Amino acid sequence: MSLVEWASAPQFVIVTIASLLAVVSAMMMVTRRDVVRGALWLVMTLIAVAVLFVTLAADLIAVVQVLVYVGAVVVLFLFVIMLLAAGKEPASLRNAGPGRWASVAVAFGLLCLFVAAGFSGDLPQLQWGQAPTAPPPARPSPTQGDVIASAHPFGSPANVGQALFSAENVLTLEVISILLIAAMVGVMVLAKGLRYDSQAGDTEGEREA
Amino acid sequence: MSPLDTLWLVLLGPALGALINGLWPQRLRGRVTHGVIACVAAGFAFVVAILQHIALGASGQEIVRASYFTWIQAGNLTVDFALRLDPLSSVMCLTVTGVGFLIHVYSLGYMAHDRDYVRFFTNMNLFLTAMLILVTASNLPLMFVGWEGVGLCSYLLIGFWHRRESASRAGFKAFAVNRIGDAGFLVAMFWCWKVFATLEFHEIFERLELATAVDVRWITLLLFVGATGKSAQLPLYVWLPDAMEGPTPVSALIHAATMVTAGVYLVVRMHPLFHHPESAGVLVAWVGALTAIFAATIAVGQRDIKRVLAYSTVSQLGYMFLAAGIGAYVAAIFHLVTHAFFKACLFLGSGSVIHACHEEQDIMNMGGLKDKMRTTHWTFLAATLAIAGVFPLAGFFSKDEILAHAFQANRGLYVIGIACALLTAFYMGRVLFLTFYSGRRMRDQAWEKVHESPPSMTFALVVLAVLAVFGGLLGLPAGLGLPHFLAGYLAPLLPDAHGAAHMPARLELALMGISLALAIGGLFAAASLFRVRGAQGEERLRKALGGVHTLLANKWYVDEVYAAVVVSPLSRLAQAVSDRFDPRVVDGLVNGVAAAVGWGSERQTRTQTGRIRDYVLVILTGAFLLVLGLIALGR
Amino acid sequence: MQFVPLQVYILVAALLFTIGAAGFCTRRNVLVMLMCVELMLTSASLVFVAAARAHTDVNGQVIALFLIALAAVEVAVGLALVVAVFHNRRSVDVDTMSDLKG
Repeated sequence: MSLVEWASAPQFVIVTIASLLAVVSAMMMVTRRDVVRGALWLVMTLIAVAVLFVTLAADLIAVVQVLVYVGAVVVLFLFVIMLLAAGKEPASLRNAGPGRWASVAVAFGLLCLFVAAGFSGDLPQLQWGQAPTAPPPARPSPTQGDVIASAHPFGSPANVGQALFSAENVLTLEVISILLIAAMVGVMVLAKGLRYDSQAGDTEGEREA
Repeated sequence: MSPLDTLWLVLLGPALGALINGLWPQRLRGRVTHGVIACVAAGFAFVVAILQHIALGASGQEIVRASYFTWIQAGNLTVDFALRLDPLSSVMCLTVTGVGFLIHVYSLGYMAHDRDYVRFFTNMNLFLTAMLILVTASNLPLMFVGWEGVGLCSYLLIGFWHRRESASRAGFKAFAVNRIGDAGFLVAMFWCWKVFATLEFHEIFERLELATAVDVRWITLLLFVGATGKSAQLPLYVWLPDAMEGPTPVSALIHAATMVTAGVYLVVRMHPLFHHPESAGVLVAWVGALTAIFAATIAVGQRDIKRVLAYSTVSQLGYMFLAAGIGAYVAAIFHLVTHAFFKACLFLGSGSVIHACHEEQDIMNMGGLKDKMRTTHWTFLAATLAIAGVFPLAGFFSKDEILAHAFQANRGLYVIGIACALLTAFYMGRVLFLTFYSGRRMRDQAWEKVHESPPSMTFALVVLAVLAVFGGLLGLPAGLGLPHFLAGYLAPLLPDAHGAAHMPARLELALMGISLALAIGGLFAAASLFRVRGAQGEERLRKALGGVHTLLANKWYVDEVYAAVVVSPLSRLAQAVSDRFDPRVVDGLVNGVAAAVGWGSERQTRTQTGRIRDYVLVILTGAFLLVLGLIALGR
Repeated sequence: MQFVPLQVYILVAALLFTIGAAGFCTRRNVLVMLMCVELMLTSASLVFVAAARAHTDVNGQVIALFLIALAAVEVAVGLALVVAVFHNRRSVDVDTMSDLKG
């Protein structure tokens, strides 16, 4: 298979477009002054990532991604933005403070490291990915998984569900559920309002429970 | 059981007395009980000392040594708590306990009305304990314990009336000056250890050949430095006259009869070293002689009765060192003993006078007490004649023996010695006549109240006066073929006991004649000046001496010179240190550490900006380093 | 079906993460910063899913699921805090929230 042939394969085209979309949308999100627009660009990014999930045989994750992120998280963001009437940033927030670019530089350094790690030969993923000319393995047979012996195909909801509730992951699942409850309680406490007893008086009794 | 089996018994009485009086939780109802306990303790020690003395003589042994326990054990240094009884320490024990007992009895009356009666007797008994340890110790460190113990008691008792500032200052001065001498003692001890590898007396004396000339010279010199401190010799004598701030019995016991003779005892105790031709003996003799004449001149100009006696003590101690320095150890010990008798008697007599005159100490304000205080007068007279060296009283024989030795050893020393004898007779005569004769100079009111002291005081006076009169019988001049009991007794221990025996009888008699003539001459000079005229006599003396008298009355300005040369620079240094070094360096160090920590903390709080961005920067940097590390390790 | 090299996914995830981190650091609006956190979490789940595919191990997808739940939790609590803070300060400027300054 030639490179051109390979590059014109539909999956590659899809992956390329989704990747570009995700990165560009992310940059747009970060750079928008208007927070509402930023939130909408975030939606684009998340959907693009969901597409990438699909190409990775993670259909369920893609669906959950769209449902939870787009359907709940971003909506919540927008709701809060509207609530606070903070859609437009005041001009005072525009200038970058000192030390910002140091952080950006460090983040860029991290990027370099990630790339270096991803493209060096040592990571186990590359052994799989190093053979673009070899025939790719078909959907892994159900018995091939290290842990999961399932009759269902890899990445299918049944496959993921079985893994989710397997003995290996059930404890984490429970912890996550407790975390959700804790967050719920926490949000309720915050929403009902805290009565600060600070001496400054700047927060005291501002809100009724 | 022989008393020699229980050498510690001599320490028991005073130690127990001090413990009982010092630690008894409540004051006994009759406070005299405390005094009686102390007297019994001292008396018990005296009896034990007598018994031990007799037993030692009967046993025919030279030295009895008993080790009770190992006191210090460090490396190859072993120091035992060991006592030693030999003729020398036995004589010292007898003197200390005997005179000590009498002074305890005297104190019963003298201190009867003092508010700190119990403390006084506690300290007195403690002093006796320390002094007995000093004289019975069998090694240098134990002796040093006694040495420091008597120093401590001296300090406590000089400052006994601590509510008076001059007393507490005098106590401090005595302590500080003694420290200088003690440093010498300590270094001498270290040196001994280095040379002889032992601190036991008998072992040191056995290993004398280990010492080089330099060793001997320095050890003896340093020991003598210690002795000058304790025995008030030039240049460290200045504390003793001030020590008269203490109660008079203290002056009598500690600063005349016993403690100040510790230096003489030390030199005699270490005589094998001092006898070495390379030793500092010559220096000892000259320092003693100069001290004797120097202190005697000062005594002429003093008006305070106790100060005169104090300088007299310094002077007589100078005689003892003169004797010890030229190797006349027996003469030194002989004079030590007789001096203990008559000087204790003089001090107690002066105490009796002061007591009667309501704390008046200036002899110019006394006079005519002869008829009011008969016993005191007679005993004081006897003791004055004794110290002046009038035949046949105690001082005559002991002083003559020293002078005879000095004549043989060095004519210069002899000349100083007889000049000093003349001065001694003169200033003692001056005190005697101004106090007891020469008409009364007191106001009527005070005069009415003058009375003879109670029997407990006069008893001690009489006994000491008798000893002062007959003490000379202990050491009749051997040169005339008379028996010298003390020399015979000390003979096994002290090598030159019969040094004076080689002198021709004619020369001996001639020297005696000179001494006696000078003594009587001095007394007569004093009598002609003061016996009738009293205060006018003093006036004439002042005119005759002119500027010299001012010099003498001001003690040659030695205290002032010391203050200017030593004390003032030191206190200025201390002041400078406390003004500059302390606040800047010491406080600066402390505050600097605190300031540095505060500054550093302040700096560190700046990292806590409260801005999330800055914390994220740190997190990102950490993540960066983590990934970098993982990659580096993975590779 | 053609194979797509894993590096592409890693590259995309790294870029998303970096953009999120840089945005988190440079923006002062709390809401935008929270969105950036979402971005970074998403990039992490992308890597997990890719790794799951590479190893044919569905556990990676399970972790991605957990991450999504975590992100939801984080957003809920974070936004509640933002609302509370905004009520006190009338500002979404994160630089004014520096009460913990030492």
